Amino acid sequence: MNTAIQTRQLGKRYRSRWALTDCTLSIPAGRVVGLVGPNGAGKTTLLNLITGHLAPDAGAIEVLGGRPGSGPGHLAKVGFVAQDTPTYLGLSIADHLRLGARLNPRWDKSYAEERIKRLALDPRRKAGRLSGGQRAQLALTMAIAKRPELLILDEPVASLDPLARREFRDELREAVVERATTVMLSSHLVSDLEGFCDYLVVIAASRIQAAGLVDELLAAQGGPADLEELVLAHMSRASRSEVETQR
Amino acid sequence: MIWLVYRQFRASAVVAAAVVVAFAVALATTASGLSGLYDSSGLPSCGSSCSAATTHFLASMKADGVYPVLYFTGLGLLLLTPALIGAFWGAPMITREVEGRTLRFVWHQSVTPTRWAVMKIAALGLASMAFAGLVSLALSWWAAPIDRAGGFPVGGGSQGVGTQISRFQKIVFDARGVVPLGYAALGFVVGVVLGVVVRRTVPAMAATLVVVAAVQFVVPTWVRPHLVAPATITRPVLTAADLRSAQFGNEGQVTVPVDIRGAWIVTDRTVTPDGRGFSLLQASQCTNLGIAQTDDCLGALGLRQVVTYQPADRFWEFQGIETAMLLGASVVLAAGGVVWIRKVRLS
Repeated sequence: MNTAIQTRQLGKRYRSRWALTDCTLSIPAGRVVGLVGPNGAGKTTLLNLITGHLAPDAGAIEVLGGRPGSGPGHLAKVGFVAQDTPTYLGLSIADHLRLGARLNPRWDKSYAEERIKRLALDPRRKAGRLSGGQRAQLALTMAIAKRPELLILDEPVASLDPLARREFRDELREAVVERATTVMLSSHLVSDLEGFCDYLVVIAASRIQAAGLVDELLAAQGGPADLEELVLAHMSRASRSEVETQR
Repeated sequence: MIWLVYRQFRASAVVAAAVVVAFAVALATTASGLSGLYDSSGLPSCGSSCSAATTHFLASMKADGVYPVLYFTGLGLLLLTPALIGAFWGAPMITREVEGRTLRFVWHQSVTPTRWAVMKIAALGLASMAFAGLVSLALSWWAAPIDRAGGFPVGGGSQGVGTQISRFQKIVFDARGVVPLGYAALGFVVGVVLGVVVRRTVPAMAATLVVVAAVQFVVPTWVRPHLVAPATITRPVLTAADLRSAQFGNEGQVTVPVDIRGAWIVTDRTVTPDGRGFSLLQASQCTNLGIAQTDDCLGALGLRQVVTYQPADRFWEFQGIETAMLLGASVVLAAGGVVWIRKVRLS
C-alpha cells in the first residue's frame, strides 16, 4: 500500500520549547486518520508541518512523495482547512467558489455548487456575515471541491452542530470511498473520531504516543477496550513518563 | 490569481479612478482659460523682453479664484500620493491577510506564496504607478503655461512678480513629469515590506507614512543635488545697489537673491575677494549702522557672489535619473519582500 505521509524524527521548535519532537510516522494512503491528543499537545504543529505552513527544525517529512508546499502541483494535491476556518470576510460565497475554480486545477464546480445549495446557503452572502459553523462549511466545501489526494482538517467539527457533524462525516467517508482520498483530522475529543477513523495517531506532550490501525491498536491493548480507553491509556502513560523525566 | 487580485482590489481601484477622473475633468475644463490668459498676455511672442508679459500673465492667473486652487490641489495630491498608496494599498496587502489568517487559505488554493506575492505586488504596483502617472500627466499638461512663465509666483514682492517656484524647485519637481511614478512605486513597495515586518495593519500604516515622508525629504535634499555636477556662475564685485536686496542669516551669512529663469539654485553664497565664505562677523566695521550705510560699507569690501545651479534644460535629465533610481530601488525592495514572504511563511 502507498504511503501518504512519511516522517522521520520530525521536530519543530518555538524559541527554546519543542512543540513536537522525535515524530516518526508512516501513514498509509486511503485511510481516515484521527489525530488525537490534549490541547497544546502538538496536533496543529504536526498538521502545519504536513501542509508546509511550517518548516521543520529537525528530521524529515515527505507528503505524497514530495516536500510539503513545494510547488503548485503539490499544493493542488493537498487540501487544508485550518483550525479557525479562515475565509475572505469581504467576499461572497459565490466569489469564493469562483476563486477556487480559477486557482485549483482539479476543481469540482458542480460538487461545490451542489453542496452550497444543500446547505441552504445564499451564494450572494458575504463570508463575514455567515455564522462560525456556516463559514466552516464553506471552508470544508472548498477543501473537498478541490479534489485533493490528501485532505487535512484541523479540528473540523469543533464549530458544527451535531446534525452537521454526522452529515459531514458521511460526506468525508464518501470522498474516501469514491476517490481513495486520505483524510487526516485532528480532535481533542475521542468521541468525534469514534467509529469513523480507521487509523489513529495519539499525540501528547509533543511526542507520538501511539500510531497504527485502530483494530490493531485495540487488539494490542487486549480485552474489550474501546477507543476512548485506548487513547486514555496512551495519554496517561505519556503524563507518567513526563513526571518521571521531570524528577 | 489575476481574478483574485482584481476582486480584492476592485473597491480601491474605483476610488482611485474616481479621484483621477474628477481631477482630470476639473483640469480639462479650466485648461483653455489658462492657456488663453497665457496667449493674450503676449508671452508667446515677447522674444527677449518678457518681464512685463510674465508679470501680466502671472498676476491675472493668480488673481483668478480657480487656477491657484487647482495648482496647489494637484501639487498636494501628488506629494501625498506615495505615502497614501503605501499606507492604504501596500501595508494592508499583507497585514489584512495576516490578521484574517487568510494566507493559509489562499496558499492552499494551489497558489505558492511566491506566485501570490509576485502577482499581488506587480498588479498593485502597476496600479499605483498608473494613478500617479495619470495625475502627473494631467497636471504637467495643465500647468505648462505657468511652468513656461517661470513658475507659480509666491510672496509677491515690490517689483515684478517676486519669487517664483519653477518646476525644477524641490517640491514642484516631485509633482511633474515621470518622477511621481517612481515615488508611487517606491511608496507602495515600502508599505508592502513594512507590512511583512510589522504584520499589524495600523502600526504598519503609520510606519509607512513616516518612512515615505522621510524618503520624500531625503532624496530632494541630499541625493538630487549630486546626481549631476551643477553649473557655477560668479558675479563679480557686488555693489551697494546689489546688496540692497541681500538677506542676512543667523550667523552673519549674506545671501543676495538670484534669479535664473527656470533653474534650480543649489547654493547661493557671498564670498570675500580671496574666495572664502563671507560673514558679517568678519566685518564688524559694517555692523551697528543704518541700513543704507551697511550696504555702502559692504559694497566697498569687493564681495562676490557664487551661485551653483542646475540649468532649466537639465529638467528631463534629472527626471529620468531620479525615476530610474526610484524604480530600481522599488524592484530591489519588492524582490526582497517576495523572498521574505516565502521564507517566513506568514500564517
